[in-house]
Amino acid sequence: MPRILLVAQETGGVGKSTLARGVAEGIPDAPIIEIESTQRILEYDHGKTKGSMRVAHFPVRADRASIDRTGGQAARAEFDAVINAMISVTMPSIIDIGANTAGSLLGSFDDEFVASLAETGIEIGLLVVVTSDASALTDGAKLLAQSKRWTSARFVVENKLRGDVDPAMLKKIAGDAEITMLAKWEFEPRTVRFLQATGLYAISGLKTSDFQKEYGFSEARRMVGDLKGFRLAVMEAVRPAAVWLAS
Amino acid sequence: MSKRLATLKARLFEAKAEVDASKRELREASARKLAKLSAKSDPAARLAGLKDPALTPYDRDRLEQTIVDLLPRRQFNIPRSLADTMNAGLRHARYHWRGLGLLGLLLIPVMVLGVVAASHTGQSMGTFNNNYEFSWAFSNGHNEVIPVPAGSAVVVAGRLPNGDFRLRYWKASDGYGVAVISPETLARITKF
Repeated sequence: MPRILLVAQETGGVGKSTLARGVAEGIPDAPIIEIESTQRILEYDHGKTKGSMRVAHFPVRADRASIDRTGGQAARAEFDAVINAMISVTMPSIIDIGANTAGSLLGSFDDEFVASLAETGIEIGLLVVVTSDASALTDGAKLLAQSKRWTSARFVVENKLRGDVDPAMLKKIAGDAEITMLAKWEFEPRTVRFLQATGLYAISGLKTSDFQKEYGFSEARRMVGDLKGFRLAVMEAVRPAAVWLAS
Repeated sequence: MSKRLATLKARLFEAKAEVDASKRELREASARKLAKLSAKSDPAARLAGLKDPALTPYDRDRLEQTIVDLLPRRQFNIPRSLADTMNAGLRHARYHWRGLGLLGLLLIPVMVLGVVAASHTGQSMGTFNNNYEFSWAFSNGHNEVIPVPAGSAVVVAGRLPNGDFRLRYWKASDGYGVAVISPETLARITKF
């Protein structure tokens, strides 16, 4: 019975794609569906011109203003292809939903769609990322409430990149969802650039010597240590969701 | 366990092992750097080494300690005269009167406790050389004759102006009992 894990949050810059990548690192054969205005998860199919791709990108062109103006119609019209892709999955799949899209996409999951999923035996899980921003907390609570009807499992990752979320508030928002945490990481600028360029994919197997010529021995060693530590932290933060998806 | 779940567990294990290896490499490199810097006898060279990013915070602290050990200790200068000492003391009191006042207040209960403890502590302790019966006067006003077996402890609480010794005996129900005996009797019935 295939399972689909949605990684969602309306607010941008909270680490959705990073956490989706964390799940992808743990389950290397899980296809990724990326719903985003421009494709960001490029590393898994980098340089691949033949054969099936691991990442399927579904562009969402609607911006926040047009979504608000049309009551979500502008975005919903673009979800047909995504919903078709969801109905036809045959393997555990990860869906990374870009900012300003999750509310509209999850809102389009009507009774007919939920019934179709049940018929095909597909189970849906939801991983919501929250930070200490008020908007991320509010949007996270909305997504979790919205998804109760059709999710088999729900997870919340508290990303501490902008500080701690009040534990009582987090528990209230999460409800019965399992909560995990990703600590705040401080990187040197070169490490950030490497992460932005390759995600988590290239970290495993990295050696100090890979950076030594360019950045010197000491900095190269710190970079490798930070990158490996961050990859593990992300994988640990999504571990319950990944276990659910792989089961 | 499904194959996918086993893969997930293996990849998490590998990620953890990679982090451990990376940390180990950092620690070892830092230890080598620390050994190299510690071998330099010049404190300035070691001081410059504190900025070395290869050092872990723990090793940086250790290097700092080696620099402290190399530097001459702070010397205590003996004041040249009593007047200088008094002037320094008065100047100190003038600028630290709040702290000194607080210290004085804190010292009062400590001193009271010290005096109480000293007054309740026996001056010396010996043992009775035979079985005796003593009449002990307790603080609640009653007197009681209590046998004391040979070998039991005798505590001398103090001495009266006429030279007699004040012995003390502890009874759990009534507290301390006191008996007064002459120096000759004490010498005859006890061993110290």
